[in-house]
Amino acid sequence: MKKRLFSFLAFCLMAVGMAFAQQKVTGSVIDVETGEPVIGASVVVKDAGGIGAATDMNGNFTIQNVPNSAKLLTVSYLGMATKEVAIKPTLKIYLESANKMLKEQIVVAFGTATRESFTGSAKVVGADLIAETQKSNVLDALSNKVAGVKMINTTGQPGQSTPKIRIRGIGSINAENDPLIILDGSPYDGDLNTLNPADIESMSVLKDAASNALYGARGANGVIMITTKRAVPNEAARILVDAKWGSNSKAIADYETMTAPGEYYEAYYQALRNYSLLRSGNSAIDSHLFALNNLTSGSRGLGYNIYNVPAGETLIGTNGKLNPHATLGRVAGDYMLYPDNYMDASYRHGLRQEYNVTVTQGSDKGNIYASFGYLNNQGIVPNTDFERVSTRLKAESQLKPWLKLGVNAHYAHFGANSMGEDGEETSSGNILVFATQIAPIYPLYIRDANGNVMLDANGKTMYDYGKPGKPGSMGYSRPFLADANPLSSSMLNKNGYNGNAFNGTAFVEVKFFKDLKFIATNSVDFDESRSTDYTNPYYGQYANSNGIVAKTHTRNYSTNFNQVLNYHHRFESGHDIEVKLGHEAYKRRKSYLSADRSNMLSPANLELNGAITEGGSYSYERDYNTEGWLGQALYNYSQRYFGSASYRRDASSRFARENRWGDFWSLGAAWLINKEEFFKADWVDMLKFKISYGSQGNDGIGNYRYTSTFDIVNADGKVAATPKETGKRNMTWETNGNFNVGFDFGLFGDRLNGTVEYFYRKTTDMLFSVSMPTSSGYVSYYDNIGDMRNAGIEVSLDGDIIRKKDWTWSADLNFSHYSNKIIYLPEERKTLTVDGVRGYNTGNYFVGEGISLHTFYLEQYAGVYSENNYAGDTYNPSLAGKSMWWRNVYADDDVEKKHAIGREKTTDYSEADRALCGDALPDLEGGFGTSLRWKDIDFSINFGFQLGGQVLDSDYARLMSNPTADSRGTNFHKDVLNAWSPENADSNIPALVFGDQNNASLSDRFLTNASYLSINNINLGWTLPKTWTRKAGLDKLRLYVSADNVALFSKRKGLDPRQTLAGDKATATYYSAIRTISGGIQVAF
Amino acid sequence: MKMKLAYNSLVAVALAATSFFTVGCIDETSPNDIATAEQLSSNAKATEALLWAMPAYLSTYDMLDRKAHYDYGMGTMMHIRDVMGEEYVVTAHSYDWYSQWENNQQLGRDYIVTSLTWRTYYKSILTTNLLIKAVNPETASPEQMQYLAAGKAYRAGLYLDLARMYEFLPNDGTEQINADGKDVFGLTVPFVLENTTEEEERRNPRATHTQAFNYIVKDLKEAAAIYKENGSMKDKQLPSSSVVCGLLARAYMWHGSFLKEFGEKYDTLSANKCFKTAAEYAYEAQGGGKVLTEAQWTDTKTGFNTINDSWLWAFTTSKENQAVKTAICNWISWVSNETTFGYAGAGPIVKVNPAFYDRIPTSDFRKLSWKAPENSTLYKKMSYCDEKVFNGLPDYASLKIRPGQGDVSEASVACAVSVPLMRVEEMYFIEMEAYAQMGQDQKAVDLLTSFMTKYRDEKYSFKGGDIIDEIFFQKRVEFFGEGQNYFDYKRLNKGVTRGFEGTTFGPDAQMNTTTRPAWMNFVIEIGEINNNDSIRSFNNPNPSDCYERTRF
Repeated sequence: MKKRLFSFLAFCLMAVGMAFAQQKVTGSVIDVETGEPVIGASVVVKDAGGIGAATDMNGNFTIQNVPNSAKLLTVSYLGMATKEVAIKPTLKIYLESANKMLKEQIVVAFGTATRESFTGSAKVVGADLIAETQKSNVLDALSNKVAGVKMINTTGQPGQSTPKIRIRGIGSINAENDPLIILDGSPYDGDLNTLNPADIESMSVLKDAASNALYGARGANGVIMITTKRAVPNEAARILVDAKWGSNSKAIADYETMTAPGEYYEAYYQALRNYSLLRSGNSAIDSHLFALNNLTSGSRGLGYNIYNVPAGETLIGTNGKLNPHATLGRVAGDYMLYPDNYMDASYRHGLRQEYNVTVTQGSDKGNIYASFGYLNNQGIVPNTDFERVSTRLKAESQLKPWLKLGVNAHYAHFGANSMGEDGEETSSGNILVFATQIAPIYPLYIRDANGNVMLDANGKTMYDYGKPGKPGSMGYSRPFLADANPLSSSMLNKNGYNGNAFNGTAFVEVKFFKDLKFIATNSVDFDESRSTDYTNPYYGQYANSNGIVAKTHTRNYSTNFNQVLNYHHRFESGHDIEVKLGHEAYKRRKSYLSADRSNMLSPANLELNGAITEGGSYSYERDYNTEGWLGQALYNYSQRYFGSASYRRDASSRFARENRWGDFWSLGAAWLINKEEFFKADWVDMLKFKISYGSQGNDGIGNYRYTSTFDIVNADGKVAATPKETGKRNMTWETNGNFNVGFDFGLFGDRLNGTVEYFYRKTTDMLFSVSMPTSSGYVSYYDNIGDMRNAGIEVSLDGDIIRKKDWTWSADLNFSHYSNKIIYLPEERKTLTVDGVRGYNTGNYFVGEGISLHTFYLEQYAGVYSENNYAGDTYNPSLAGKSMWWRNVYADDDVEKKHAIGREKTTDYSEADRALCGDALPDLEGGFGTSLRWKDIDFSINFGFQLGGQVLDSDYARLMSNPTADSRGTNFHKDVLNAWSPENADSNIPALVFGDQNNASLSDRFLTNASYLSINNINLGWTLPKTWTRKAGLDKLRLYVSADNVALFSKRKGLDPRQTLAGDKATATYYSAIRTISGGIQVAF
Repeated sequence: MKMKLAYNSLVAVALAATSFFTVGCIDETSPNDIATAEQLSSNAKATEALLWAMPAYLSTYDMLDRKAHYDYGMGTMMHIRDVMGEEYVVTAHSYDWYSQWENNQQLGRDYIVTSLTWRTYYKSILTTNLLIKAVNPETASPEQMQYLAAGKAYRAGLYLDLARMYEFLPNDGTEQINADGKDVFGLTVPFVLENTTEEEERRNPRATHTQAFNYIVKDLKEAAAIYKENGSMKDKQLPSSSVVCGLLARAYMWHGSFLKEFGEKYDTLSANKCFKTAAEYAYEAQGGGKVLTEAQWTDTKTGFNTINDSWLWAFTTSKENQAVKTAICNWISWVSNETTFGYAGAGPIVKVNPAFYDRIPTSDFRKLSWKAPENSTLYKKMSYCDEKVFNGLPDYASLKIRPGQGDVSEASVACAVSVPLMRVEEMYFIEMEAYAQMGQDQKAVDLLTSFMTKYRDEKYSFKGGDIIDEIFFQKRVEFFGEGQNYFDYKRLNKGVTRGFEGTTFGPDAQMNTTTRPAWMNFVIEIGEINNNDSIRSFNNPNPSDCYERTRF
């Protein structure tokens, strides 16, 4: 596509032949990266007085009269490394780029472009960077590497951790915001965890309309093009073996909760004492006795007393401190009550092993790439892991001068065991709810009177389920999630899957006129997995079902066919035109089948046939199809002025037949200023101005949203169709208009490269969930209403600070700032006016015209009720220590409460008024890194950061909450030690009082600055000198150590702001991010 | 060269053409996990499927799409109403998802719990509107006319519950002038009928008490007329002509009590006329069933989980139901203490208030509905599904509603049960109370005594006092845990006493009221407030935390 064209003038000059004639040499010059001919390259016979030729429009040259004495040809072209080759009568010469950055290939829609000639906005993350991370999911390599790309990793669970990606903000309120993934030219909806990152050559993130308008249908949220590796032409066979072994551990620190049982009892005692003292007005001694009597028993107590106290003494003294004579491990009947650290038991170290072998070979007729990879990633929570075996074969062959074929096939087998209820903040089935929330006084195990952990009749370790009368009980009722012990469940139950993924692409390229070719790319993707979910017959809620086994099979099958006619002609006048016409059809089918049974013979048989009582069985298939026609015209004049225009017409099965087609287009232009005559700064290698605008579509809502749907259910043996959702038949595509303007530059001999861009992205006809009055029986339907925009600036820089023979020091930095604003909402959604903003409330947010989608809308904390700070006209001692919030005050005649004339404090949470509390989005985010090479030793480190933004820290709020009858046994954050008390009257933390319901109810008090700095990875390697390795017959030998997810510094210990974009669900009840420290060896031969 | 080019072109064009034509135009898709309106309209069984949607919907799990464990349809509505009274105690526990209703906390318009009641009813009403709309009386067969009658009766039944729950009635906790300065006295709910348009829905005011009564009675009378002509529904999951009478009896009692308490200016009907009509319909409905026997009442396999002669109307949850599949998010999990897997048994145990329990004579077999203290003479007489489970239960724990087939452990059996919506006994109570309300106390006493001695307690005699109070008490014993008693508290303006020495209510539930509790006027949820202009400033006042708690 991108043939080299230096200049017409040079071409003419070099075409002059020479007089001496002895031998004729013909050949062609080809760009090694693109496989395209290089036009106007100079081919000169060395030491022959300037005999030579320039390549023609097809890259061919002929030199008559080459002296027989001549041995070498010198081939050169601006921007490419000059090469010397031995003279033969016919030659094929490959040139490589001299200036890597300028010639960097960007995989774009239906082709490639060089960075120099590209009019759009894109960033390429290459294999080198991918190799610096040890992620099982290749997308993770994009973290903090691409300006304007935000990654959200909620869970760190192996095999489950596909990040959510947002490119240039949030495009839609209710429809999907995920970018389209294109794998080797075809849309990919499969599981990215099945791909082996070692097979990936590059990932291009296409951010603007000019780049991705050809994916018009689904490109509105950006496109990530993943390209697998291939051999370069004429590359000798090369075998690369890479092996690494590492240790996985928890990367995120714990919240600072109480870990000492005595400290917890003291705090709980304090809560009870304060209840009696502050709220009931009892005397100090009565309150002390009340607290003691209720500490471990009754409807206010903790249920467990784990301390021995000498007869006649009390657990807590009148000073509020634990009795120094108290000893841990109270023997009660047959058991000893001894506390355990649930957090320590819930996380462990895991072993990570990864092995990759790749083989490459290229010739001028074709090339082959083959790989085999094995990954075994043991999780950091017991019984979680991920295993993957993958293999890829990619081959291309120029069968005839006019016919090229290629096949790329990938197969992976994978298996995993997972943790249940990941991130479910209140579920008794989530280990991490226990690990992060249970008070440090509860035993994990059942111990006999001597303190030894007991084994049951099956030889299994006995865990405390905290439910008297049921297996796994010491006779004490644990108020915190009784009848559950997920650690035990994780040992006894099984929650795993395994499956197979196959992805195959075949293409054919036919040249049938000089400038015209036809390319058809057909791909098939297939991913099936079978899961087993087994619940043990021994303990817990379902023990009496005598074992439950559920089997689920899912199959995702998709095909994509595209055909493109490509015409490319260069006029000798310097005009260059390329036109594409194409068609693409995509089909996806998701099939689901599951069944379950209970009452099992043996836990060794985890199949349905091993159980006798039928549970349920389900199956369905979900189809999704798109089809599109596309056209594109690219133009440039002298590789100096560039223009592009594209158009795509698309249909989606998600819309009704008559509203199915949408039209999308783009226009782009670029100007290489440094190529102008007037531009006289030789330290500038490249300076490009680019500008583009276009529109793309989004159909990212569920299927059949345009009509009313019904569930098919059993009404005691009769078929019933119960209403599910309703829709509007005229619903159609959401459209995203994208404006991009910026500069690309390369300075100081390619020492400093960078891009500065501004974007303005406007979504119109938004697929908006229009609320209905719920008395209709429906909640909402989708319609094309509403406008939103994202605008921002992105900067990325990289360069070599030191570039010497023994030393290289380079660094890179990228950052972006963007703002989101809702421009227009449908009138019926503007139900509230807050601070002059009209909009509606959803959860903890206010969605309003003129403000960010992620604007918090919360009660505002007004401090602690005390003598210095109280609500109302007079101080009421019985309210001391309570939380206060702000409420609005209205004039007496303003009965509808339209205009607040002021605000006042209240201790009644239900009276508090919400207000706009700022945006969740950060002010600045990005990443930076540096790498250092000294001789054979290389070192690199990469960081990520975010400045500003807010997270609603619900974990912290929970840990700061007062106990009530319904919520006993939850741990406290150590900050409660600094709570308000008559002695600590300046504290801004409300008093610890049993039963004070709303002390930590959600308010802006729990909005936490979401800034963070993370050390994403560190690599240190030593490549043994070639002189040594050659002796061993090796091409390369490299030893390295690598650390991933090294550290996170956030505003509060334990909080990981990277889990959320909207600032809503950052919680330690998600599987923690994993830190991996590995050592490895790389051998090539 | 020319030849070759031509040949190549031919190949390419052929290839291109083939691939274009093989993919053709975009293929139509159609779902198989759900049905679309288009699929239904082309299906002859569609109307029948819409008919059965009405009972089926009452046990739908996760209507709110929040996976809330209390979101399982009509059963949860019944439990919510029960926990608002004074005889039904739920042990305070971290597993108790009903504490907001029990403790009068966080019941404002923004809470999920507030959405739950509103949406559960209106989504159920939608099933009736879809059916009613699907039957064209001009062309319908007699069978389809029965569907239409069932649809109208169903809709009336749902609206009657809903109107009674949301109607604002004066109380000692909140004012009838709301925060927006609007008087909401007697306002019920907006009526959405089969032909109501979206525009009308967006401006649909709360019907006044009398308007609501008229809507409901209109539907019921139409249903009765259709049944008269075409015969009545037989399946107890669909309202029969007896149920239509029963619903009319309920409606007239409600209206009569309203007129009696607040004056007859609200309707041309008199209170007495309403009570008289209620008594007549109740009497007629009594013919539709037989009163439960002691054996049926205490049956460990079928007690209050299987349709029998006493039940006039019910819905049945099959083992394929999603709520049953969850094992824990369903009616049995929450109300039957005798399971090993459910919520009730795991902590939030359903118990009877000892003060209430102690008022019931031991000769009344209904007292066997709860676990007697060990020193009680009843202790040995109680029947239970499973001895171990029974022994693990505290005193006063409810035994009334049994797990399906008495199976305490297999959720697919235990939770696949029928839930009563109307029992014939209620008609006896309505009839006797109607007479009492009309001032015919002796007639009421006779009817009560006759009912009690014949069916419940041979030794029963009325000890004097207010006959309406006595009927209210006996009715609460009869319908403990069936979601009906709430309506009587509210209709009769009865307060609750939960804070007293020896109470078993949790600390936050200990509130005493002198009138119907403020929390019995449900608040309308935000989804309606935001999208219905005519309701926006007419919400009921938020009752949350409006009562001080006692400290026993």
